[in-house]
Amino acid sequence: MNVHPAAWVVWTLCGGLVALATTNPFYLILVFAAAWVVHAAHRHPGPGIRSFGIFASFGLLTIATRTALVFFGPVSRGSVVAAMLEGARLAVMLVVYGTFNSVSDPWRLLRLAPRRFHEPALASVLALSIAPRMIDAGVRVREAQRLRGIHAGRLRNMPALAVPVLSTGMEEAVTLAESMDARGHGRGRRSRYRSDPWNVPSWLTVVAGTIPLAYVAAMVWTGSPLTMPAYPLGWPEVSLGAVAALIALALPALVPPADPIEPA
Amino acid sequence: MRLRVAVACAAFLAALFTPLGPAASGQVACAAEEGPRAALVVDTGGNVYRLCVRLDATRVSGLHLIELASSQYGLTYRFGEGGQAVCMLANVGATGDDCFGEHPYFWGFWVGDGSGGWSWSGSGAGSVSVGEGGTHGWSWDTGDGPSTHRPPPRTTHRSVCPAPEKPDPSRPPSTRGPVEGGGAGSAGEGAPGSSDPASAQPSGDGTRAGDRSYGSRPGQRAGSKEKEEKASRRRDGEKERERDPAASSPAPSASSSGVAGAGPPLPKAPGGSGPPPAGVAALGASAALAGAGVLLARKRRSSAG
Repeated sequence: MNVHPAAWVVWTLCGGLVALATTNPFYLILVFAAAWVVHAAHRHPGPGIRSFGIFASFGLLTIATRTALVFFGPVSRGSVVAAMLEGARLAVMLVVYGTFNSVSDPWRLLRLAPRRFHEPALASVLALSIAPRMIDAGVRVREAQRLRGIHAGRLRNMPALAVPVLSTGMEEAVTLAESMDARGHGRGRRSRYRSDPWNVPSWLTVVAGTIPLAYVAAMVWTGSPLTMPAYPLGWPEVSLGAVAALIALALPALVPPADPIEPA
Repeated sequence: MRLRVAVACAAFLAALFTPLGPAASGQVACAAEEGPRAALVVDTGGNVYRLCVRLDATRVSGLHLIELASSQYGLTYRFGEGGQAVCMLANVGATGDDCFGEHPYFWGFWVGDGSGGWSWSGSGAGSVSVGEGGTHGWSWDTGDGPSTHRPPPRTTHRSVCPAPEKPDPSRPPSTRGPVEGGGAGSAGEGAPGSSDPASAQPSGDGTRAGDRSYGSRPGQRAGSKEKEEKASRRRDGEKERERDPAASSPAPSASSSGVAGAGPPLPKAPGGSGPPPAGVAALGASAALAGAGVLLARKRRSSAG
Protein backbone atom coordinates (compact mmCIF):
# COMPACT_ATOMS: atom_id res chain seq x y z
CA MET A 1 0.00 0.00 0.00
CA ASN A 2 1.25 3.38 -0.88
CA VAL A 3 1.64 6.08 1.65
CA HIS A 4 0.62 9.34 0.08
CA PRO A 5 3.67 11.55 -0.61
CA ALA A 6 2.05 14.47 1.19
CA ALA A 7 1.83 12.26 4.28
CA TRP A 8 5.56 11.70 4.02
CA VAL A 9 6.06 15.44 3.81
CA VAL A 10 4.09 15.91 7.01
CA TRP A 11 5.99 13.09 8.74
CA THR A 12 9.34 14.57 7.67
CA LEU A 13 8.44 18.07 8.80
CA CYS A 14 7.27 16.78 12.17
CA GLY A 15 10.34 14.62 12.67
CA GLY A 16 12.65 17.46 11.69
CA LEU A 17 10.92 19.91 14.02
CA VAL A 18 11.08 17.44 16.90
CA ALA A 19 14.81 16.99 16.32
CA LEU A 20 15.24 20.74 16.08
CA ALA A 21 13.61 21.27 19.46
CA THR A 22 15.92 19.11 21.53
CA THR A 23 19.57 18.49 22.23
CA ASN A 24 18.77 15.68 24.64
CA PRO A 25 20.80 12.73 23.35
CA PHE A 26 18.18 10.21 24.46
CA TYR A 27 15.47 11.92 22.42
CA LEU A 28 17.78 12.42 19.47
CA ILE A 29 18.78 8.78 19.34
CA LEU A 30 15.11 7.79 19.46
CA VAL A 31 14.29 10.01 16.49
CA PHE A 32 17.26 8.57 14.67
CA ALA A 33 16.17 5.01 15.38
CA ALA A 34 12.62 5.79 14.29
CA ALA A 35 13.88 7.28 11.03
CA TRP A 36 16.09 4.26 10.50
CA VAL A 37 13.32 1.72 10.97
CA VAL A 38 10.99 3.70 8.70
CA HIS A 39 13.72 3.83 6.09
CA ALA A 40 14.32 0.10 6.43
CA ALA A 41 10.63 -0.65 6.01
CA HIS A 42 9.85 1.72 3.16
CA ARG A 43 12.97 2.49 1.22
CA HIS A 44 12.10 3.04 -2.33
CA PRO A 45 13.90 1.18 -5.10
CA GLY A 46 15.29 4.03 -7.10
CA PRO A 47 17.88 6.77 -7.04
CA GLY A 48 16.97 7.71 -3.50
CA ILE A 49 17.80 4.36 -1.97
CA ARG A 50 21.29 5.38 -0.93
CA SER A 51 20.23 8.75 0.38
CA PHE A 52 19.70 7.53 3.94
CA GLY A 53 23.28 6.35 4.25
CA ILE A 54 24.64 9.40 2.49
CA PHE A 55 22.67 11.76 4.68
CA ALA A 56 23.75 9.81 7.74
CA SER A 57 27.41 10.26 6.80
CA PHE A 58 26.73 13.93 6.15
CA GLY A 59 25.30 14.00 9.64
CA LEU A 60 28.52 12.56 11.06
CA LEU A 61 30.42 15.25 9.17
CA THR A 62 28.11 17.85 10.71
CA ILE A 63 28.85 16.58 14.21
CA ALA A 64 32.59 16.63 13.52
CA THR A 65 32.47 20.15 12.10
CA ARG A 66 30.31 21.53 14.88
CA THR A 67 32.59 19.97 17.46
CA ALA A 68 35.72 21.26 15.77
CA LEU A 69 34.29 24.79 15.76
CA VAL A 70 34.01 24.84 19.52
CA PHE A 71 37.77 24.68 19.87
CA PHE A 72 38.00 28.24 18.61
CA GLY A 73 36.29 29.42 21.75
CA PRO A 74 36.65 28.74 25.44
CA VAL A 75 36.69 25.00 25.80
CA SER A 76 35.31 22.92 28.59
CA ARG A 77 33.94 19.42 28.75
CA GLY A 78 30.48 20.93 28.82
CA SER A 79 31.02 23.11 25.78
CA VAL A 80 32.40 20.21 23.76
CA VAL A 81 29.44 18.00 24.67
CA ALA A 82 27.00 20.83 23.94
CA ALA A 83 28.58 21.39 20.54
CA MET A 84 28.52 17.68 19.76
CA LEU A 85 24.85 17.50 20.63
CA GLU A 86 24.04 20.54 18.54
CA GLY A 87 25.80 18.80 15.69
CA ALA A 88 23.84 15.65 16.48
CA ARG A 89 20.61 17.60 16.34
CA LEU A 90 21.47 18.76 12.83
CA ALA A 91 22.58 15.25 11.92
CA VAL A 92 19.27 13.77 13.03
CA MET A 93 17.41 16.37 10.99
CA LEU A 94 19.52 15.38 7.99
CA VAL A 95 18.77 11.71 8.63
CA VAL A 96 15.04 12.41 8.78
CA TYR A 97 15.34 14.22 5.48
CA GLY A 98 17.38 11.35 4.06
CA THR A 99 14.59 9.00 5.12
CA PHE A 100 12.13 11.19 3.27
CA ASN A 101 14.31 10.94 0.18
CA SER A 102 14.59 7.20 0.41
CA VAL A 103 10.91 6.45 1.10
CA SER A 104 9.17 8.93 -1.15
CA ASP A 105 9.27 9.68 -4.82
CA PRO A 106 9.70 13.38 -5.52
CA TRP A 107 7.95 13.13 -8.89
CA ARG A 108 4.81 11.91 -7.20
CA LEU A 109 4.95 15.04 -5.12
CA LEU A 110 5.15 17.11 -8.28
CA ARG A 111 1.98 15.54 -9.59
CA LEU A 112 0.15 16.73 -6.52
CA ALA A 113 0.79 20.37 -7.18
CA PRO A 114 -2.11 22.38 -8.60
CA ARG A 115 -1.57 23.55 -12.14
CA ARG A 116 -1.30 27.15 -11.11
CA PHE A 117 1.65 26.37 -8.89
CA HIS A 118 3.23 23.93 -11.22
CA GLU A 119 6.40 25.88 -11.89
CA PRO A 120 7.31 26.65 -8.29
CA ALA A 121 6.44 23.06 -7.47
CA LEU A 122 8.73 21.87 -10.25
CA ALA A 123 11.54 24.06 -8.97
CA SER A 124 11.12 22.81 -5.42
CA VAL A 125 10.91 19.19 -6.54
CA LEU A 126 14.07 19.62 -8.58
CA ALA A 127 15.72 21.09 -5.51
CA LEU A 128 14.39 18.28 -3.33
CA SER A 129 15.59 15.61 -5.69
CA ILE A 130 19.01 17.09 -6.35
CA ALA A 131 20.58 15.03 -3.61
CA PRO A 132 19.39 11.61 -4.79
CA ARG A 133 20.16 12.51 -8.40
CA MET A 134 23.66 13.65 -7.51
CA ILE A 135 24.19 10.50 -5.49
CA ASP A 136 23.01 8.42 -8.40
CA ALA A 137 25.27 10.26 -10.84
CA GLY A 138 28.16 9.93 -8.40
CA VAL A 139 27.73 6.17 -8.20
CA ARG A 140 27.58 5.82 -11.96
CA VAL A 141 30.57 8.06 -12.63
CA ARG A 142 32.56 6.29 -9.98
CA GLU A 143 31.92 2.93 -11.53
CA ALA A 144 32.81 4.23 -14.97
CA GLN A 145 36.03 5.79 -13.71
CA ARG A 146 36.97 2.59 -11.95
CA LEU A 147 36.63 0.77 -15.25
CA ARG A 148 39.05 3.31 -16.67
CA GLY A 149 41.48 2.61 -13.88
CA ILE A 150 40.89 5.82 -11.95
CA HIS A 151 40.27 5.25 -8.29
CA ALA A 152 37.96 8.04 -7.27
CA GLY A 153 38.45 7.41 -3.60
CA ARG A 154 41.63 9.42 -3.49
CA LEU A 155 41.53 13.11 -2.96
CA ARG A 156 43.81 13.72 -5.95
CA ASN A 157 41.30 12.10 -8.24
CA MET A 158 38.35 14.08 -6.93
CA PRO A 159 38.12 16.28 -10.05
CA ALA A 160 37.75 13.15 -12.14
CA LEU A 161 34.67 12.38 -10.08
CA ALA A 162 33.27 15.82 -9.34
CA VAL A 163 33.35 17.34 -12.82
CA PRO A 164 31.33 14.60 -14.54
CA VAL A 165 28.89 14.52 -11.65
CA LEU A 166 28.25 18.25 -11.90
CA SER A 167 27.98 18.21 -15.68
CA THR A 168 25.66 15.21 -15.52
CA GLY A 169 23.47 17.05 -13.07
CA MET A 170 23.26 20.07 -15.37
CA GLU A 171 22.57 17.89 -18.39
CA GLU A 172 19.86 15.99 -16.60
CA ALA A 173 18.14 19.16 -15.46
CA VAL A 174 18.23 20.64 -18.98
CA THR A 175 17.01 17.39 -20.51
CA LEU A 176 14.20 17.20 -18.03
CA ALA A 177 13.13 20.77 -18.65
CA GLU A 178 13.22 20.26 -22.41
CA SER A 179 11.25 17.06 -22.30
CA MET A 180 8.65 18.52 -19.99
CA ASP A 181 8.33 21.54 -22.25
CA ALA A 182 8.00 19.35 -25.30
CA ARG A 183 5.18 17.45 -23.67
CA GLY A 184 3.37 20.61 -22.75
CA HIS A 185 3.79 20.03 -19.07
CA GLY A 186 2.07 22.56 -16.92
CA ARG A 187 -0.13 23.78 -19.75
CA GLY A 188 -3.70 22.86 -20.36
CA ARG A 189 -5.65 20.29 -18.46
CA ARG A 190 -3.73 17.68 -16.60
CA SER A 191 -4.44 14.07 -16.82
CA ARG A 192 -3.57 11.54 -14.22
CA TYR A 193 -2.45 8.14 -15.23
CA ARG A 194 -2.60 6.90 -11.73
CA SER A 195 -4.32 8.32 -8.76
CA ASP A 196 -2.62 8.72 -5.45
CA PRO A 197 -5.29 7.75 -3.00
CA TRP A 198 -5.22 9.07 0.52
CA ASN A 199 -5.58 5.90 2.49
CA VAL A 200 -5.33 4.59 6.03
CA PRO A 201 -1.52 4.24 5.97
CA SER A 202 -1.31 7.87 4.95
CA TRP A 203 -3.40 8.85 7.95
CA LEU A 204 -1.23 6.67 10.13
CA THR A 205 1.89 8.37 8.82
CA VAL A 206 0.47 11.82 9.48
CA VAL A 207 -0.58 10.82 13.00
CA ALA A 208 2.85 9.26 13.58
CA GLY A 209 4.38 12.62 12.81
CA THR A 210 1.97 14.83 14.69
CA ILE A 211 1.93 12.90 17.99
CA PRO A 212 5.60 13.51 18.85
CA LEU A 213 5.47 17.04 17.46
CA ALA A 214 2.44 17.87 19.60
CA TYR A 215 4.06 16.35 22.68
CA VAL A 216 7.31 18.24 22.13
CA ALA A 217 5.41 21.45 21.43
CA ALA A 218 3.57 20.96 24.72
CA MET A 219 6.88 20.43 26.48
CA VAL A 220 8.23 23.64 24.98
CA TRP A 221 5.04 25.41 25.98
CA THR A 222 5.20 24.24 29.57
CA GLY A 223 8.91 24.82 29.80
CA SER A 224 9.85 21.19 30.35
CA PRO A 225 13.54 20.59 29.78
CA LEU A 226 14.39 19.39 26.32
CA THR A 227 18.05 20.26 26.26
CA MET A 228 21.21 18.81 27.66
CA PRO A 229 22.58 20.64 30.70
CA ALA A 230 26.12 21.48 29.62
CA TYR A 231 27.17 24.00 32.28
CA PRO A 232 27.65 22.13 34.49
CA LEU A 233 27.54 18.91 32.59
CA GLY A 234 24.91 16.54 33.88
CA TRP A 235 22.45 13.91 32.85
CA PRO A 236 19.41 15.37 31.12
CA GLU A 237 15.92 14.85 32.37
CA VAL A 238 14.04 12.29 30.30
CA SER A 239 10.28 11.94 30.53
CA LEU A 240 8.67 8.61 29.76
CA GLY A 241 5.82 10.37 28.03
CA ALA A 242 8.18 11.97 25.59
CA VAL A 243 9.87 8.63 24.97
CA ALA A 244 6.50 7.05 24.21
CA ALA A 245 5.53 9.94 21.95
CA LEU A 246 8.80 9.72 20.06
CA ILE A 247 8.40 5.98 19.52
CA ALA A 248 5.20 6.88 17.67
CA LEU A 249 7.42 8.42 15.00
CA ALA A 250 8.30 4.87 13.95
CA LEU A 251 4.64 3.89 13.37
CA PRO A 252 4.84 4.07 9.55
CA ALA A 253 7.18 1.09 9.69
CA LEU A 254 4.13 -1.03 10.53
CA VAL A 255 2.57 -0.23 7.18
CA PRO A 256 3.35 -2.84 4.55
CA PRO A 257 5.74 -1.29 2.06
CA ALA A 258 4.84 -0.23 -1.43
CA ASP A 259 4.98 -2.73 -4.24
CA PRO A 260 8.67 -3.04 -5.11
CA ILE A 261 7.88 -3.46 -8.81
CA GLU A 262 6.47 0.01 -8.93
CA PRO A 263 8.63 2.26 -11.11
CA ALA A 264 10.68 4.84 -9.33
CA MET B 1 42.17 4.32 5.27
CA ARG B 2 39.03 4.25 7.36
CA LEU B 3 40.89 2.71 10.26
CA ARG B 4 43.53 5.39 10.09
CA VAL B 5 40.91 8.13 10.16
CA ALA B 6 39.19 6.47 13.10
CA VAL B 7 42.44 6.14 15.01
CA ALA B 8 43.29 9.77 14.29
CA CYS B 9 39.86 10.87 15.49
CA ALA B 10 40.17 8.78 18.65
CA ALA B 11 43.61 10.17 19.39
CA PHE B 12 42.32 13.69 18.80
CA LEU B 13 39.41 13.17 21.17
CA ALA B 14 41.60 11.53 23.77
CA ALA B 15 44.05 14.40 23.60
CA LEU B 16 41.26 16.91 23.98
CA PHE B 17 39.56 15.21 26.84
CA THR B 18 42.73 14.60 28.81
CA PRO B 19 42.92 17.43 31.27
CA LEU B 20 46.40 18.75 31.31
CA GLY B 21 47.99 19.79 34.52
CA PRO B 22 49.43 23.22 35.01
CA ALA B 23 51.63 23.96 32.09
CA ALA B 24 55.26 23.83 33.02
CA SER B 25 56.09 27.45 32.93
CA GLY B 26 58.94 29.45 34.17
CA GLN B 27 61.45 28.43 31.60
CA VAL B 28 60.62 31.49 29.56
CA ALA B 29 63.20 33.98 30.56
CA CYS B 30 62.56 37.61 30.07
CA ALA B 31 66.03 38.97 30.18
CA ALA B 32 65.80 41.75 27.66
CA GLU B 33 64.57 44.95 29.18
CA GLU B 34 63.58 46.30 25.81
CA GLY B 35 60.95 44.54 23.85
CA PRO B 36 57.22 44.34 23.52
CA ARG B 37 55.10 44.53 26.61
CA ALA B 38 51.44 43.83 27.12
CA ALA B 39 49.15 44.56 30.01
CA LEU B 40 47.24 41.80 31.73
CA VAL B 41 44.37 42.72 34.01
CA VAL B 42 42.91 40.05 36.27
CA ASP B 43 39.71 40.94 38.09
CA THR B 44 38.82 38.27 40.61
CA GLY B 45 35.74 40.11 41.78
CA GLY B 46 37.46 41.19 44.96
CA ASN B 47 40.89 42.12 43.68
CA VAL B 48 42.17 43.63 40.50
CA TYR B 49 45.68 42.75 39.44
CA ARG B 50 47.37 44.78 36.77
CA LEU B 51 50.50 43.20 35.37
CA CYS B 52 52.89 44.60 32.81
CA VAL B 53 54.12 41.48 31.06
CA ARG B 54 57.21 41.35 28.89
CA LEU B 55 56.62 39.28 25.79
CA ASP B 56 59.04 36.73 24.44
CA ALA B 57 57.81 37.27 20.89
CA THR B 58 56.31 40.08 18.88
CA ARG B 59 52.89 38.65 19.46
CA VAL B 60 51.85 35.95 21.88
CA SER B 61 48.53 34.27 22.49
CA GLY B 62 46.36 35.25 25.42
CA LEU B 63 47.15 31.95 27.10
CA HIS B 64 50.87 32.42 26.70
CA LEU B 65 50.51 35.90 28.14
CA ILE B 66 49.18 34.28 31.31
CA GLU B 67 52.09 31.85 31.33
CA LEU B 68 54.49 34.75 30.97
CA ALA B 69 52.74 36.60 33.77
CA SER B 70 53.13 33.50 35.89
CA SER B 71 56.84 33.26 35.24
CA GLN B 72 57.39 36.97 35.74
CA TYR B 73 55.03 37.72 38.61
CA GLY B 74 54.09 34.38 40.05
CA LEU B 75 50.50 34.70 38.98
CA THR B 76 48.88 31.37 39.69
CA TYR B 77 46.85 29.90 36.92
CA ARG B 78 45.51 26.63 35.74
CA PHE B 79 44.44 25.80 32.22
CA GLY B 80 41.98 23.03 31.64
CA GLU B 81 40.42 20.93 28.95
CA GLY B 82 43.48 20.41 26.82
CA GLY B 83 45.15 23.58 27.97
CA GLN B 84 42.79 25.71 25.92
CA ALA B 85 40.58 27.15 28.62
CA VAL B 86 41.38 29.17 31.69
CA CYS B 87 40.12 27.42 34.80
CA MET B 88 41.79 29.42 37.50
CA LEU B 89 43.61 32.70 37.84
CA ALA B 90 45.06 34.06 41.07
CA ASN B 91 43.61 31.11 42.98
CA VAL B 92 40.11 32.00 41.89
CA GLY B 93 38.19 29.75 39.61
CA ALA B 94 37.13 26.21 39.01
CA THR B 95 39.13 23.70 40.96
CA GLY B 96 38.18 20.55 39.09
CA ASP B 97 38.91 19.50 35.58
CA ASP B 98 35.97 21.37 34.23
CA CYS B 99 36.64 25.06 33.74
CA PHE B 100 32.92 25.69 33.89
CA GLY B 101 32.65 23.75 37.11
CA GLU B 102 31.70 26.90 38.96
CA HIS B 103 29.12 27.93 36.43
CA PRO B 104 27.47 30.45 36.26
CA TYR B 105 30.77 31.96 37.37
CA PHE B 106 33.55 31.68 34.85
CA TRP B 107 36.55 33.62 33.64
CA GLY B 108 35.37 36.07 31.01
CA PHE B 109 37.96 37.10 28.48
CA TRP B 110 38.13 40.73 27.38
CA VAL B 111 40.41 42.55 25.00
CA GLY B 112 41.34 46.16 25.63
CA ASP B 113 40.15 48.59 23.01
CA GLY B 114 43.17 50.82 23.38
CA SER B 115 41.46 53.61 25.27
CA GLY B 116 40.83 51.88 28.57
CA GLY B 117 37.60 50.15 27.66
CA TRP B 118 37.04 46.48 27.07
CA SER B 119 35.45 44.46 24.34
CA TRP B 120 34.26 40.91 24.86
CA SER B 121 36.35 38.39 23.02
CA GLY B 122 34.31 36.07 20.90
CA SER B 123 37.15 33.61 20.55
CA GLY B 124 39.30 31.79 23.03
CA ALA B 125 42.47 33.16 24.52
CA GLY B 126 44.50 30.56 22.66
CA SER B 127 43.58 32.14 19.36
CA VAL B 128 43.68 35.82 20.32
CA SER B 129 47.15 37.29 20.17
CA VAL B 130 48.50 40.35 21.87
CA GLY B 131 51.52 42.47 21.07
CA GLU B 132 53.21 45.67 22.16
CA GLY B 133 50.66 48.02 23.66
CA GLY B 134 47.96 45.41 23.86
CA THR B 135 45.76 44.73 26.86
CA HIS B 136 44.03 41.55 27.89
CA GLY B 137 41.55 41.37 30.72
CA TRP B 138 40.00 38.54 32.68
CA SER B 139 37.05 38.92 34.98
CA TRP B 140 35.45 36.33 37.22
CA ASP B 141 31.74 36.82 36.99
CA THR B 142 28.46 35.43 35.76
CA GLY B 143 26.83 36.26 32.48
CA ASP B 144 27.40 34.64 29.15
CA GLY B 145 27.98 37.71 27.06
CA PRO B 146 29.40 41.21 26.97
CA SER B 147 26.14 42.76 28.14
CA THR B 148 25.78 40.65 31.26
CA HIS B 149 29.35 39.79 32.16
CA ARG B 150 31.13 42.47 34.16
CA PRO B 151 34.26 43.72 32.40
CA PRO B 152 37.43 44.49 34.32
CA PRO B 153 37.81 48.10 35.44
CA ARG B 154 38.89 50.55 32.80
CA THR B 155 42.60 50.22 32.28
CA THR B 156 44.91 51.56 29.62
CA HIS B 157 48.09 49.89 28.60
CA ARG B 158 50.04 53.05 29.43
CA SER B 159 48.79 53.08 33.01
CA VAL B 160 50.04 49.54 33.55
CA CYS B 161 53.20 49.73 31.50
CA PRO B 162 54.71 53.19 31.85
CA ALA B 163 57.08 54.49 29.22
CA PRO B 164 60.32 52.50 29.31
CA GLU B 165 62.47 55.65 29.22
CA LYS B 166 61.52 56.52 32.76
CA PRO B 167 60.98 53.34 34.71
CA ASP B 168 58.96 53.44 37.85
CA PRO B 169 61.39 54.28 40.63
CA SER B 170 59.44 52.20 43.09
CA ARG B 171 59.86 49.12 40.94
CA PRO B 172 63.35 48.64 39.58
CA PRO B 173 63.34 46.93 36.19
CA SER B 174 65.48 44.11 37.50
CA THR B 175 62.65 42.83 39.67
CA ARG B 176 60.57 42.19 36.59
CA GLY B 177 62.63 39.16 35.82
CA PRO B 178 61.36 35.66 36.14
CA VAL B 179 60.44 34.40 39.53
CA GLU B 180 61.56 30.83 39.71
CA GLY B 181 59.52 28.98 42.25
CA GLY B 182 58.94 32.15 44.16
CA GLY B 183 61.16 33.53 46.82
CA ALA B 184 63.34 35.48 44.45
CA GLY B 185 61.06 38.35 43.67
CA SER B 186 61.40 41.54 45.58
CA ALA B 187 58.16 43.03 46.71
CA GLY B 188 57.62 46.35 45.03
CA GLU B 189 56.11 49.22 46.85
CA GLY B 190 52.72 49.44 45.31
CA ALA B 191 51.26 52.88 45.38
CA PRO B 192 47.52 52.79 46.05
CA GLY B 193 45.29 53.55 43.13
CA SER B 194 44.40 51.97 39.88
CA SER B 195 47.30 53.47 37.96
CA ASP B 196 49.74 51.44 39.96
CA PRO B 197 51.87 49.47 37.54
CA ALA B 198 52.02 45.80 38.29
CA SER B 199 50.12 45.91 41.50
CA ALA B 200 50.70 42.21 42.10
CA GLN B 201 53.82 41.20 43.83
CA PRO B 202 55.43 37.83 43.79
CA SER B 203 55.30 36.19 47.14
CA GLY B 204 57.89 33.95 48.55
CA ASP B 205 56.04 30.88 49.68
CA GLY B 206 55.36 29.07 46.43
CA THR B 207 57.38 25.95 45.95
CA ARG B 208 55.69 24.04 43.19
CA ALA B 209 55.22 25.25 39.67
CA GLY B 210 51.60 26.07 39.06
CA ASP B 211 50.81 26.15 42.73
CA ARG B 212 52.48 29.36 43.67
CA SER B 213 50.35 31.42 45.88
CA TYR B 214 49.74 34.96 45.01
CA GLY B 215 51.12 38.03 46.67
CA SER B 216 48.80 40.27 48.55
CA ARG B 217 48.43 43.96 48.44
CA PRO B 218 49.49 46.11 51.35
CA GLY B 219 46.82 46.17 54.00
CA GLN B 220 45.39 42.87 52.92
CA ARG B 221 45.54 39.67 54.82
CA ALA B 222 48.21 37.55 53.32
CA GLY B 223 49.22 33.96 53.19
CA SER B 224 47.04 30.92 53.15
CA LYS B 225 44.09 32.82 54.55
CA GLU B 226 43.77 34.63 51.31
CA LYS B 227 42.91 31.41 49.52
CA GLU B 228 39.95 30.79 51.77
CA GLU B 229 39.02 34.38 51.54
CA LYS B 230 38.87 34.27 47.77
CA ALA B 231 36.94 31.05 47.83
CA SER B 232 34.35 32.62 50.02
CA ARG B 233 34.36 35.77 48.00
CA ARG B 234 33.51 33.67 45.02
CA ARG B 235 30.38 32.59 46.81
CA ASP B 236 29.73 36.15 47.77
CA GLY B 237 29.29 37.01 44.13
CA GLU B 238 25.91 38.60 44.61
CA LYS B 239 27.38 41.24 46.81
CA GLU B 240 30.44 41.67 44.72
CA ARG B 241 28.62 42.23 41.50
CA GLU B 242 26.60 45.05 42.90
CA ARG B 243 29.54 46.93 44.17
CA ASP B 244 30.34 50.38 42.91
CA PRO B 245 32.47 50.26 39.78
CA ALA B 246 34.65 52.94 41.31
CA ALA B 247 35.43 50.58 44.15
CA SER B 248 36.80 47.98 41.79
CA SER B 249 40.29 49.24 42.33
CA PRO B 250 41.82 47.05 44.95
CA ALA B 251 41.20 49.04 48.05
CA PRO B 252 42.30 47.48 51.30
CA SER B 253 38.71 47.42 52.49
CA ALA B 254 37.89 44.93 49.78
CA SER B 255 39.31 42.20 51.89
CA SER B 256 36.69 42.71 54.56
CA SER B 257 33.99 41.12 52.49
CA GLY B 258 35.34 37.66 52.88
CA VAL B 259 33.39 35.72 55.48
CA ALA B 260 34.07 32.05 55.22
CA GLY B 261 31.06 29.86 54.71
CA ALA B 262 28.71 32.67 53.82
CA GLY B 263 26.38 32.57 50.86
CA PRO B 264 24.51 29.77 49.19
CA PRO B 265 26.49 27.01 47.53
CA LEU B 266 26.77 27.04 43.78
CA PRO B 267 24.44 24.75 41.88
CA LYS B 268 25.91 21.39 41.17
CA ALA B 269 25.18 18.95 38.40
CA PRO B 270 21.89 17.13 38.90
CA GLY B 271 22.14 13.44 39.55
CA GLY B 272 25.68 12.81 38.65
CA SER B 273 26.15 9.08 38.87
CA GLY B 274 24.25 7.49 36.06
CA PRO B 275 21.76 8.12 33.31
CA PRO B 276 18.12 8.63 34.30
CA PRO B 277 15.91 5.53 34.16
CA ALA B 278 13.70 7.03 31.47
CA GLY B 279 16.87 7.60 29.47
CA VAL B 280 17.69 3.93 29.78
CA ALA B 281 14.19 3.22 28.56
CA ALA B 282 14.78 5.54 25.62
CA LEU B 283 18.02 3.75 24.80
CA GLY B 284 16.27 0.40 25.00
CA ALA B 285 13.48 1.61 22.74
CA SER B 286 16.04 2.95 20.28
CA ALA B 287 17.87 -0.35 20.27
CA ALA B 288 14.61 -2.20 19.71
CA LEU B 289 13.69 0.10 16.82
CA ALA B 290 17.13 -0.25 15.30
CA GLY B 291 16.94 -4.03 15.64
CA ALA B 292 13.54 -4.01 13.97
CA GLY B 293 15.05 -1.89 11.22
CA VAL B 294 17.85 -4.38 10.67
CA LEU B 295 15.36 -7.25 10.57
CA LEU B 296 13.12 -5.39 8.13
CA ALA B 297 16.05 -4.54 5.89
CA ARG B 298 17.23 -8.14 5.90
CA LYS B 299 13.74 -9.41 5.15
CA ARG B 300 13.30 -7.01 2.28
CA ARG B 301 16.71 -7.88 0.89
CA SER B 302 15.99 -11.60 1.00
CA SER B 303 12.55 -11.18 -0.55
CA ALA B 304 13.96 -8.94 -3.26
CA GLY B 305 16.88 -11.19 -4.04
